[in-house]
Amino acid sequence: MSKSLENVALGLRSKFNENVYNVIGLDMKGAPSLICKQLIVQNYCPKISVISTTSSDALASSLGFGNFLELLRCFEQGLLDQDPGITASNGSNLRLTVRFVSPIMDQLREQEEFLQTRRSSLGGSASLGGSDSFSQTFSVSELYNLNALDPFINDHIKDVDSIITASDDPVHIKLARNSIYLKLLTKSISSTTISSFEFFNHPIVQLFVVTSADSLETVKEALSGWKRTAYPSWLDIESILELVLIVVDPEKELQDGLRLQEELKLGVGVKSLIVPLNNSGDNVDVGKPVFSQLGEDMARTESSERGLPRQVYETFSDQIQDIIHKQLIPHMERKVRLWTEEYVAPRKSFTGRFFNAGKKWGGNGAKKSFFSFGSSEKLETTPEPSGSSYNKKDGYYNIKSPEMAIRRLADWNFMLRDYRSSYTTYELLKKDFLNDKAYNYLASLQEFMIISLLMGASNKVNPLDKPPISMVMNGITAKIISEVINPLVDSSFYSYLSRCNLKTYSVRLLLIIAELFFILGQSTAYFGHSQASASALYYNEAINLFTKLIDSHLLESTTNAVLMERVAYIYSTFGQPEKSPKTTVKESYYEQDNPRKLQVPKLLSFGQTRHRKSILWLLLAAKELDPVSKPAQTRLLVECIEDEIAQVPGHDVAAWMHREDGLLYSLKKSLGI
Amino acid sequence: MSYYFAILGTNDSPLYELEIGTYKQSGDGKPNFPIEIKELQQFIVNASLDILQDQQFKINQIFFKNLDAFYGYQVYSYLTQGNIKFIISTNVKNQDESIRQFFIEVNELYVKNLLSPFYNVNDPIRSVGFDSRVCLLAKKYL
Repeated sequence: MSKSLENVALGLRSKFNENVYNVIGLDMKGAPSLICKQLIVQNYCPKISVISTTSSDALASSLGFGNFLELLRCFEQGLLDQDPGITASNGSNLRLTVRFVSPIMDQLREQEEFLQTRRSSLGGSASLGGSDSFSQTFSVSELYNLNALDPFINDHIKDVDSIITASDDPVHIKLARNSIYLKLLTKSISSTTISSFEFFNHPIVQLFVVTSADSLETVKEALSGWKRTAYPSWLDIESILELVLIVVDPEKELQDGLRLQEELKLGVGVKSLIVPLNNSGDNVDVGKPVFSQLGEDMARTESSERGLPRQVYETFSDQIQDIIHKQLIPHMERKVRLWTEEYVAPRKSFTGRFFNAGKKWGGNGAKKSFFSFGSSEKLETTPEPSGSSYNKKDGYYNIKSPEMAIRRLADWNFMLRDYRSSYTTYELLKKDFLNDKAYNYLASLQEFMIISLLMGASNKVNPLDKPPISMVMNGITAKIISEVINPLVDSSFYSYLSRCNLKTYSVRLLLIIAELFFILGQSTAYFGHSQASASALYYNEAINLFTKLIDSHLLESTTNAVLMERVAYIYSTFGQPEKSPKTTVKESYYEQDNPRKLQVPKLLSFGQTRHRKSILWLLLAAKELDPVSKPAQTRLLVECIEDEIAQVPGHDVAAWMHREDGLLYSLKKSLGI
Repeated sequence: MSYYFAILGTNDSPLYELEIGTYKQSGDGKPNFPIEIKELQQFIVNASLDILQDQQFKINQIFFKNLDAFYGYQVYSYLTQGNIKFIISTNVKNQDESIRQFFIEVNELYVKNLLSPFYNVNDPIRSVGFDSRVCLLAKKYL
């Protein structure tokens, strides 16, 4: 079974990737960091949850989809391809991407079921009630099933192998190979798990898809039905925008649709949009969504080829753009403004700080206060000290608490790609979470503080912008790294792993931050000589974090091998773009050169490159990949190593590397080269 | 607890190699590298040259302890005046000073070897005398 390159390589057709490859260039060892950054940015996009009626599902199934959600998800890829990325020129007019997710209750139920099965397999008591309510003590679930990651990467490598063996085009082979790491990155950061301490996966728009055949009653039922469920009290239902999408046939049912729209507006007060659906035209191929969750991607690998009538495709594309730009973004911006005034401004003001401090002393420290003298025993039995809205017993904040409002505000800022505001907003909460010992909240907060900080910094040094070199300043100095970023990373990693036992979160933390450091390094290096020491600093940080992830034993061998390859790629891009020598070679002073004279090494790049380090890590990756089970991949890696060795001057060095007791020799032997 | 010692020429080619175990802590001088490190040893040493080249014109010293590290193996280096590199990769801890002494004495041996009219710079060192003297030094210091 051979697969086409489009199915394997990510975002192949996107304009952004083409731009990046024009600037950075294609490499066998790994994908340019800017593409990874684009993936990270796109991963944290607003989510739209979709509820469809039976009639709209029937419509979707007539087009060959299981339900309407699946139909809508096909448009995610189109949005991703159109996204031009963050550049200085289009900083203001946003082109957000979105993801469509299943209704909240379904997601929560799934998560709970998953937890239950895990608990019961551990020997705990499992009781799965089919009730409509969710327990408040909903424990935190992982982002995805970590055990499924390694098999997934193995499967993907098989797809890549089939392309490599089928194609002779080096560009195709490189793209296919690069896709392995990109796949790993998307899978290990993307998730639809709804957690109490992050708002990225909480839907912002609740979309109801109905057809004109549905009566007003059905629509009303759907509208009120999803709110009736007893949600956990950390979940925010109020700020979700409700939107009805009425799908009509323009020839017959337009009037019905318009009537329904009017009725909805007057009777229920919900906005609705009409989509005229014209079922004609040739088919357009639609791709699989990039950011699908691990499990679901495995389930439908067979049905990757899909088609939609062109008319339908275009109508929906326009409609989704409309929803994003006319409904979603204004809604988010409105709320952001509102919350900033309501929660952030008082905190920042002098009086706000004053009162806050008073509350803290009066609340937690009440035992020591003069007025509570003599009643200290009673105070200990009070369920919760005032001043904090953290529910210590169950470990969550109520959604109505100011802490959560601020966190939500920061997350929305983050999704709107305003990293400066999100950083300052996150910072407001640090002390609260620490005082309450809410470690999962704290870890996530710290993680996104660093991510916003680095993201903001890397936006200032974007090679695609081509700003004048004197303007390039990103503000991340060695001091900031050692005093701010590293302690935060360590504390967040410790909280995730040891206090909360959340492995996938720890993986995500290290991977994203390592990648962001690499992005900073690669972008800074692009701006020339004066930045060389800064970029070396970022590279080293990135390598430290990647090796930390590899050494943490959280991941299995294939995944580790891919990460090792990433380290090798980082080393090999060290000191790139290479400096071109300015001086021309002088005529020799002597008539005849002394053949015994020692060669002067290339002084311009002396000590700037890390090719030999790269060789070492490529070897490690090749060994970890195992030449027996993945010969095609290992062979490519060995070829990379030989290319690198060939660049090292001196015949003796090459012989030394190829010696019989070395790893390279044994690898080549087992590959039969 | 073992040492891998290599002398690298000006063009980074290997001139002399020695694997030796420690004589301290009741060791018998036999190297006992685990197989996964043994097959990587030349790559580790070669990789540390990248760091050495980066440092050698920035820092005003010829002996580098903690030049590089690889999973518990520390890399030490000593740069001679003629840009010949002595490199040790080892898992023995806290022997900085004795490794430095060892390097200094090996340098003396190397210079004597270089004085020989039958030896050219960057040629592999095949002298048996040199080898046995280095082994004696290793026994003394390492």
